[in-house]
Amino acid sequence: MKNTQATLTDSLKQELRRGAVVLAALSQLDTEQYGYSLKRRLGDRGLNIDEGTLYPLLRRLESQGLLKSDWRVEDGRPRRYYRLSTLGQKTMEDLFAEWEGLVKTMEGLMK
Amino acid sequence: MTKQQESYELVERYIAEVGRHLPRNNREDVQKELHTLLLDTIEERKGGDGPISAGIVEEVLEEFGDPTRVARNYSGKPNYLIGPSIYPVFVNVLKIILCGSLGLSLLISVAQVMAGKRQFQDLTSLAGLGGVVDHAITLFISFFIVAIIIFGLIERFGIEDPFDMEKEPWTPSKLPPLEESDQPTFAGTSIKIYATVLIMLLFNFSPDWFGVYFFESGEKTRIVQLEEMGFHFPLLLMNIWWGLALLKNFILLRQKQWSRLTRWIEFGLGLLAIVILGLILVDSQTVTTSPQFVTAIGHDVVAHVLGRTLLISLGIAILVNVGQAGFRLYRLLKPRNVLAMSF
Repeated sequence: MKNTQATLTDSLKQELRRGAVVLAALSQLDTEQYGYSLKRRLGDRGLNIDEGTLYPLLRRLESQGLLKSDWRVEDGRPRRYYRLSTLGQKTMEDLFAEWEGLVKTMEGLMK
Repeated sequence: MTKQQESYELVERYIAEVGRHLPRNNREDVQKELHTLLLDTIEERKGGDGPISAGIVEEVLEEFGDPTRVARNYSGKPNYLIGPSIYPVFVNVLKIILCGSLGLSLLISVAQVMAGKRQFQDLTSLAGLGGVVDHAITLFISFFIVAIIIFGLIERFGIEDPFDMEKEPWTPSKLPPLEESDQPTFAGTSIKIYATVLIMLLFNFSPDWFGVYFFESGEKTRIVQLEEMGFHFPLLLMNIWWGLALLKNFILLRQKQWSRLTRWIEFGLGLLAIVILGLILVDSQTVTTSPQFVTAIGHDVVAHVLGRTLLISLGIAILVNVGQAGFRLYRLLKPRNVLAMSF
């Protein structure tokens, strides 16, 4: 059976991480990053996000107007560089405030 | 092919497979980005200036994951009416519907015989069997539409694994080979030219070749031409179509590759084909009841089924040509990407 406790936990963990991943990505894009450099940067800070999730996410955030991007050729290879848009900056600040409130509330609940 | 080239080819196959599941409007851009992302990851994984091994490439591709899932993450919504996860079930359901429609139609006919509404002899005659097939086709089309709606809704609302199918984990070895490029080959283009000339000559000078033949004692005794059956062909437009097709193929033979000119001619051919097929369809509506057609076939019900099938096929051919023309126009008008993909 698929609905074992382990599968259920995995599914809920993924759900829990989904929103956090957006905030994490936005938080690192105040300086310009291309896909791989962002993944490495997040990994260095302890958040490993799989490629199949992170790279499409950047596209989605861009289509929502939260990021801007442009193609540049560096080291002989064309790369797409992403950075926060004005809307993205504002949204990130709102989300961060929400996150802090949520963490405090959750800490209170989990005691 | 060297090991290094094989590894690169595996990356290209992966990118092509992701692209197959992406909407056309951002496919090229996503593929280009995926290309650099894969190379960045592979290069860091191998470290130093050494060659890229197949093992590293496979490891990285496995981490990126199933191309279908990656494509779905990129597009954020279903790209299919019926996606690959439920398509095998859909095909099985269609097979059941096909057999079931024929069986149900037969059962209804038998029930009618048992209820005394029909004679048994009617059922066993060719005309009776034609009626059963006609009924089965109608049933199949109805069930087919219902099946498409149900499976389309499952796809649209993203019900994951609705049939609880056990799937094997994805591995790079499952990647299909790269598709052949669409560049014209000398042999293929030459055959098209010969075939076009042959059909053009036959249609213009020996139209009696096209029709239904009758054989008696193994000898061809009579032919009923398509026009006698009620088909009407706009010969002038058809000749223009063949002429344009020849022109396009001669240019392809000379240039050895597609150009904007040949792509525009191809688009024009598609539009002309829609007009020609449309005219044939409109002018041939009487084909199913034409006395010549019924006489030629021998049974009015079978003639009706056959005529209807021919007309439906024409309708489908028109729809396919409309779709292709739209796609070709999009490709012709789409702004071209200036950054080339390269290893």
